[in-house]
This record gives sequence, structure tokens and C-alpha cells, in this order.
Amino acid sequence: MKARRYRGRPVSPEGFKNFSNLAVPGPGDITAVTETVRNILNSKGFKICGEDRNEATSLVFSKNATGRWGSFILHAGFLCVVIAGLYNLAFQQRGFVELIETETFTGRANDWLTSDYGLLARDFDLDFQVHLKRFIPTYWDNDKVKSLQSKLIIGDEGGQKNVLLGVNSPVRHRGVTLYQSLDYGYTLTFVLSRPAEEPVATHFSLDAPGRKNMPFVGKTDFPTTDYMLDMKFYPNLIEPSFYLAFPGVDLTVTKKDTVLYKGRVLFTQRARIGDEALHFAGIHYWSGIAFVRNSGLPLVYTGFMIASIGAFLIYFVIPREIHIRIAREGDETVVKVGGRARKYQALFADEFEKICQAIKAGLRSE
Amino acid sequence: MESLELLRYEFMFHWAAVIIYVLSTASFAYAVFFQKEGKLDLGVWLAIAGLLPHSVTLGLRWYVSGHGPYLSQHEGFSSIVWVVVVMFLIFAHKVPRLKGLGVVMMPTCFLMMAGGILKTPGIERLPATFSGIWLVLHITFTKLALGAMLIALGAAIFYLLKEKKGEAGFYQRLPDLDVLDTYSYKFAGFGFVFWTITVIAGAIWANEAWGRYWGWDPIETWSLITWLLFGIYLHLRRFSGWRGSKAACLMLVCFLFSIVTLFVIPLVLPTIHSEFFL
Repeated sequence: MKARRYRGRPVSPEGFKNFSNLAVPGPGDITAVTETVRNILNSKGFKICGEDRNEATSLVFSKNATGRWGSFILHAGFLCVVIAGLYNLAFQQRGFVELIETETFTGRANDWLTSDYGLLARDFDLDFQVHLKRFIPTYWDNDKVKSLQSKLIIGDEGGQKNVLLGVNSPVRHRGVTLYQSLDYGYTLTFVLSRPAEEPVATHFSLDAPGRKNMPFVGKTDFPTTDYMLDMKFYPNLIEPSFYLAFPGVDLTVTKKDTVLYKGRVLFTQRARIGDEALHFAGIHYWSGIAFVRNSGLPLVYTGFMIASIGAFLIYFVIPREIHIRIAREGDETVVKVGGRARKYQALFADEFEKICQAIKAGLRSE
Repeated sequence: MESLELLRYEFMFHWAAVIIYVLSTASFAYAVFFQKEGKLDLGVWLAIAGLLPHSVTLGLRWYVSGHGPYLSQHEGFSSIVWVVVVMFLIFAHKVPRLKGLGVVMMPTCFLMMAGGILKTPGIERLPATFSGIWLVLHITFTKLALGAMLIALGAAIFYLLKEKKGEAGFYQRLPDLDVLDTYSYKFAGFGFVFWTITVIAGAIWANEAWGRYWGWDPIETWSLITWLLFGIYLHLRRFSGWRGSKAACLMLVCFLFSIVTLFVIPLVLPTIHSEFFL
């Protein structure tokens, strides 16, 4: 091992801020002194990484050398996370649907309620279908949502499988991740019967309220008519509840600002609008479900792990070097010790001082 | 035992901890401002004494609420303070000459604890999105980041004071200026790393919960700003040779931004964090 130059620089303890000149009186055996110094530094976790025996003995010891890679590894981790973000920005396909219980979503690109595509992404078609079997919300005693779960049947040419989708419990299928949205509510089905016409059934999705003494609300037009429906739905008219017991809706039907009907309609009852009838025919939950492809998640996890390792190396594995030169000067053996830390030089001074004390004590007993 | 009775004990232990932290603050302040170094040890012992009822109150709260202490200002502040006090005590044990940092740490602690319980004493229920290991990492590392930044702030303040007052009295017994400067740098580095983990874990959790990593929520945006600022601070120190009072002043600015991010933005802007935190 050559140590006259170490990492491109000449081995010279004098050049360091932390420097100590330890003299051993008497001729001394340089080999024995070298061995003593080596043992002391080994016991303190320093490993020899360079040695040169010429007119003087030069030794280079290092500790935590792997720490030098910390910054590179940390930034590589960040780069991974940034790449994942850019990948997402370019290729992510994201669609959102509000599925009513017993409804099946066919997965065609033009069936999304809303969709969001990356800059380079194409239309988002699923190659499977999703059927909402049941939606189950639960609540805390202070009316806050405790959990939202959708029981789904996912079907493709390979068959069908039952899955339970929940908030924070996404489901992955064929490269697409399904997320349970916090959007949900009741869907009311009304059937409009007009003389000499086929009855028309329409679903109206209402938003969930924050408290159980408030109604599920919605205001929308009735397709193929000029009617505007304003609905305030109570799952239980007897006592405030989020759950169905004795359901009814306060319904206002308007046509061009003229109120045609205003009153309470109980489930299965009809509201009369002239010679037409609006039949309150069904109540189901609807559940918001987001479908995402190309989220780059594995790359984010990888980047996170790499960055964490890098950070650990940077701040907990600080590389230190001790350079030693042992030479005979007159009738003394002189041990010159220089040391440096890659980081936190001021804190290394204490450790360096202790190392010098240990070497001094070791040489004295020599 | 009834939950209500346990909560009564929780409040009792909480206020006991606040009072002991006040005494610890007084002790540190007396030691620093009247240059009575002996009182520093008393301050440390009082901080340890305060940590005992504080640990009990957190445990009781956890048991009664059924979830970790992070859902309201009371729980959030209390658990942050616990982490900060533990970090400070470990630091004071490792670097006895910097025990005086307690004069910065302990008043922050008792003010946060008292403020939290006065604002939101009740128990909040866990929202549907609050579960999973990424949430735990997100919350834990926020607290660790704040603890590390407080120590960095304390070291920076002591640096500026020592530089201004010279070697007189109490300041003479503080570590050298370059050691104070290095500790500020070191703990700013820890804070940066913990903050990074907070942001990334939060993004992964958001993706699990809502299907998106980043929504430019005000807290997310300010977290990014704070993270960038700490990154600039560390890079200026590492590559542009920033040291001393210039670096200490920048550290104060960085800390100010972290406080704005954590405690001011949720109060003044509607964010998904304030929905659960306030």
C-alpha cells in the first residue's frame, strides 16, 4: 500500500487543522510504535487505508468512508422521486366515476364523469368492468365519517373477483389502481309517467351532508323535460340518521321559475304534477371511485428508500481521516498526527483530541 | 375506569407537566440571564420531571381516544412538545455545555402545551383517511423535524449572542463560536432530512388515500417552500462557504418559514390539514 499520496494529495499531517506532534524520547522501535498506533486507531474504529514505509512511516486511517457517498445517494433518491413526478405528469391516466349500487361500469373512455390525462397519455379505456355490489359508510358518534367501503365485482375475460375497496385501501387490477373517493351519497330514482308515453326512469345523485340532522341535497334538471328538481332527502324522517329507516324527500319541481310541485314525498309514493306523476321508485347509495394508471408509485417508493439511506449516510456516517507520519528526528521518535472530518470539523476536534491522548498514553507505556 | 374519569386525570397530568415546564423555563432563564450556570442542571432536572406526567397524559389520551396523539391542536402540540423535550434532553446529555438551549426550547414547549389544551380540549374522531404506516411516518417525522430545527435555532441564537457579547460571563462557558455554528448546521441538516421524509411520506399517504401525490394544498406548497429554503441554506453552507452570523441569520429565516408552514397557514388558509388539526 502506498501512502505518500492519498486521494491525490501528499500524506502530510501538518497540513491539517487538527494536528498534533507527539515525541517519544529515546531511539524507540519504529515498527513497534507503528504497531501501537495502528492498534489504538483500530480500537477506535479507524481502518488503515494507506501505508508507506520509506525514510519515514506514513499511515492513513479512515472511518466511515462510505459516508462520502451519502450526498450522491440522497440526490439520486430525490432524482427518482422527481422522475416519478414527471412520469406521472406525462403518462398518468385518471378517471372518476360515481357508481350507483347494482350498476356496472364498462370502462370505456367516454364513460368517465371526469378524467385527467398526462401530457403524453392517450384515452383511458379499462380492459375490465367494475360492478358496485354494495356501498357501506360508517360514522363516529360525532357524525364524522369513520369508513367508506365499496364491495365491487371486477370482471374480465379471466373471470370475476370480489374485492373490497376502502379509503386508504386501494385495489390494483391489471395495472390500474382503484381508489375509494370521499364523495358518496344517496341516489334517488324517480319515474316520470306521462299520458300516452312510456314512463321514464332517472337517477339523481345527492351529496352527503356533514351532520345527520341535515338532508342529502341535490338540484338538477329532469332529462328530456323542462323540469328542475330540488331535493332534500332524509333517510329517516322519524329521527336524524344517515341510515335508511323511514325515508322521504322534500321535493320542489319547477319549470322556468314556476313552482309546479312542492311537498314531501315518501319512498314509493307519487307526486302529482298536473296529469303527470313522479314516482319515488328507488333509493341506493352511490360511491365515487377513481381509477388511475401509471402512478409511478414503485419509483416513488424506490426514491424514498434511496433518499433515506443517503440522508442517513450524510448525517450519521461522517467520514474521518487520520494521517500519521512516524520518523526519527535526532534521538527522538516523532509521531505526527493530523486528522480531518468531511463534515462538522469543529465537532471532530474533541474526538481528535481524545485520539491523540490515547496515542500519547499508548506510546508512553511502550 | 370510565373514559371521562381518565380524561380528568389526563387534564390533571397535562397541567402538571405545563407547570413543571414553566419552572424549568424559569430556571433556564435565571441561569442564562443572571449567569448562574448551576441553575442549568435544575432546569434539565425539571424538564425530566415534567416529562413524566407528560408521558402519562399522552398515554391516557391515546388509550381513551383509541388513536395516536395527532388529531387536534391539543394532541398535536402535546406530542410535538414531548418529542422536542426528549430530543433536547438527549442533546443536553451529549453536549452538556449547551444545556442553556433550554431557554429557547422550554418556553416554546409550555406555551404550545397550554395553548393546545385551551383551544381544543375535546377528543376528535379519526377520519376515514387517517390510517396506514405512511401517515405514522408523516406525523412522526414532522415532530422530529421541528425538534431538530428548534435545537438548530437555539444554537444559532446562542451563536449570535456570543458573537455580540463576546466572552463575558455566561457566554464564556458556552462552546466556541465555530462549535455553536456547527451544531446549528448539523441540526438544520437533521431537520431537513426529517422534513424531507415528512413531505415524501405525506405524498405517498395522499396517493393511498386520495389517489394523488400532490394537490398544491397551501400546507403542501409551504412545506415545499420551507424544504427548498433549508436546501438552499445547507447548500450555501456546503458549497459557498456560508458560516457564522450570516448562516445563523438565514437559519432564523428558515425556522420562521417552518413555523409559518406548521402553525400559521392552517389557521389562515383552508387546507385539508386544518380540517383535522384545528
